[in-house]
Amino acid sequence: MKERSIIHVDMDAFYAAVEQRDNPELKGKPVIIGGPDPTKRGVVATASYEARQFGVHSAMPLREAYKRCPHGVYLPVNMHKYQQASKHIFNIFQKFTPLVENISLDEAFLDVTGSRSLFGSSKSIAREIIDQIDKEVNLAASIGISYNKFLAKLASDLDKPKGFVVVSADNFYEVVHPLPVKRVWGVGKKMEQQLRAVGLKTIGDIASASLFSLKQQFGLAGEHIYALSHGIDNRPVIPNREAKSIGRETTFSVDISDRDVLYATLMQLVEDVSFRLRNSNCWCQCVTVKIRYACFNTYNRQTTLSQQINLETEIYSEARELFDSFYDGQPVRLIGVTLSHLKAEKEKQVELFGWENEKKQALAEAADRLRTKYGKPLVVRARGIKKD
Amino acid sequence: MKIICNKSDLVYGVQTVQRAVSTKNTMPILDGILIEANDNKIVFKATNLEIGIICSTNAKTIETGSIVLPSRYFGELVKKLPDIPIHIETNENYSTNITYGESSTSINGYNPEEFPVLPHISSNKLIKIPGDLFKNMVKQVVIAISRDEARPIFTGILTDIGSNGVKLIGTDTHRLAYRSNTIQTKLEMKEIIPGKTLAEVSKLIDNEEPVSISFDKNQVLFQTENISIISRIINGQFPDYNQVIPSNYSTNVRIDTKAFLQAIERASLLVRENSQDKANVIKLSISGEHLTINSNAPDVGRLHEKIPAFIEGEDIIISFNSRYLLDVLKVIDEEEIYLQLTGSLSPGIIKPVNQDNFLYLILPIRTV
Repeated sequence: MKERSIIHVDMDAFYAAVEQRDNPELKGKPVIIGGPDPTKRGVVATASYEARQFGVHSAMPLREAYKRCPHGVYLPVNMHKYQQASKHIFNIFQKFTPLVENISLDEAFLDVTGSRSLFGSSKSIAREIIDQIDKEVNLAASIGISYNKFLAKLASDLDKPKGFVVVSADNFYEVVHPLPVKRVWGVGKKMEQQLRAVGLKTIGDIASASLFSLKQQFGLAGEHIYALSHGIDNRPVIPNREAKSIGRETTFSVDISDRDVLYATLMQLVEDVSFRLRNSNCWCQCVTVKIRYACFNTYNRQTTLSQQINLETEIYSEARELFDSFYDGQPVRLIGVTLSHLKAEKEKQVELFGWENEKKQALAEAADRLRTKYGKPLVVRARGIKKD
Repeated sequence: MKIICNKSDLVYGVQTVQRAVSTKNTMPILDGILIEANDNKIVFKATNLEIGIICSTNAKTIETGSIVLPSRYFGELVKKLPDIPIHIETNENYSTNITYGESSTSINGYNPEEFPVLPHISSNKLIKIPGDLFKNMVKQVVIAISRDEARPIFTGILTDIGSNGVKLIGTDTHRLAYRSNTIQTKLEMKEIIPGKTLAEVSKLIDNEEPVSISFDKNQVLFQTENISIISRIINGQFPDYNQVIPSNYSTNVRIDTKAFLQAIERASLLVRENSQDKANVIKLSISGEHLTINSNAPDVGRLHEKIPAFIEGEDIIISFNSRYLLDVLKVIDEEEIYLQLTGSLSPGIIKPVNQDNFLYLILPIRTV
């Protein structure tokens, strides 16, 4: 196979950077995105690099972050704004190659193998991309360049922020082999422990381990990490990666057992996920509800439907039924809704005996347009409003 | 049982009832054809338990009796027999000799006692329809029914009989076909008859001969002089079709049926590879004095057709599944049709210009 050129672009502290860009007063300050009030519950979505110096990192409980960085600026998540910025950035990628795989709002793989004859080396393409992001969106990114996805992603993470790392066949051993095993794609905490237990601490250790015993111990995953440790990763960059699921969950500031509040929250979550579902021209056939009780016991229940749906009312009625089927009345810390078995459909046959649905569909679309124009909270279902 | 009959009568009887034989039966006896010899008449019967067909033909009965013969072998054999008198005689153990001239074939049969008894329907709920009319009505409606057994009602045709005559309605929820005809009757009833049954009856009956249809609680019987077809009726509530037929429209297009059909046929060639049911979405633009058809399959090519039409009312752009248009245009014999539309998300109406008793609703495709 011809050697590929893959670029991994990872935006630096994306949410925080967007806020700092829009409010120059925040520049140089520790900015923590996750909720306006750090004394309440919630988790850190993104921390600026200034905040990271105090040991604040994403997924950390807000209260813990507040302990470490009490003078930080705490802001709510403004997803609409980040999506706009992300869209702009992805449009820039498209100028250089159609082979763009979006991993999340702030991360993408670009296969520029075929673009080199047009735009020069992968390095100069990457420089041009950072330049344009800087000029047009006024944000910073870290770049990893290599001959496959695994190494490109690894590289972008090596010198953050504003990193620019190339992993080639020449420097592969030198750069990659000393890294700890947890840097390998697919090695989580548990596997890391197991690898350490058999004396494998670095990627180089895995590379010189016995493939047979890796396979014996870890099955397919063992084979997989062995290949990665040798710099082998043939996964293609798949453009327009279709989302497999669309989900949203929320942690309450205090544990809730009032059903009315839980239903209202459920409706808010449903509104969010169904909006995103329709926005991507999708229908879903599976709805999952997640409940985490105050004791941290977490339960998921899902239902698969006979037909595809995309309206709040339809999704809410499924979600509510699921919720009622297993909620036991205990205080709840977190609830979530996930839609899966997604199917994209640009063209939808109208149904004869579904006139009500057509009207509802039109209503949902009108509401969606308002949400897109003025931000999500503008149009809500009454069920999603909590009584004071 | 011992009979003598000629080849053509034998082939007629066997091929008629063979349509009810299903090859996917769990019970071997249902692969068979029951032959009953009465006084100078033989009766063939076959069933897949959904539908049963009975056909009688002439024969010389030497000894009355009955036998079940496997349709697969017996059916193929009779087609290939020489055109001379054929003797059929059953022995013990249900083995049956078929003798033609100096030659003979013996086929192992089944015990006729094991063959399911087809229900006897004698009902005063009866209506007679000329064969050619019945065939034409079924042809125009059966196109719209669904094949999805998950929603059995839509695999059937609503047969609505009243003082105004007979109305047949079929729909798969994406289109609906309605056909009526005035027929003198005192019968008042609404039943859902399996579309497959009506299609079979259409194929089996003669144009010249009237078919009588009678109903009992769970079954419907179609009868001509020689053939009887018994079928179950589909239980359930057919949706109110009157409610979904629009009473007015904002755009009325009068267009040549054949020109429209041929253009849609060409447009249907560009079927999108990735489309699920291999159906093409075509876009109709109606404006000025033309109906324009656009079909675009990025991986194959694109089509643009312009057909002269007489247009009244608002300009409109609307998308349809081309198959749904093809189906209806093929069963309209009139030279010109009306296409009546009300906005790009509402059902469109197609009907022949000079025929009041047929109407087809077609639901558009919402495009993003």
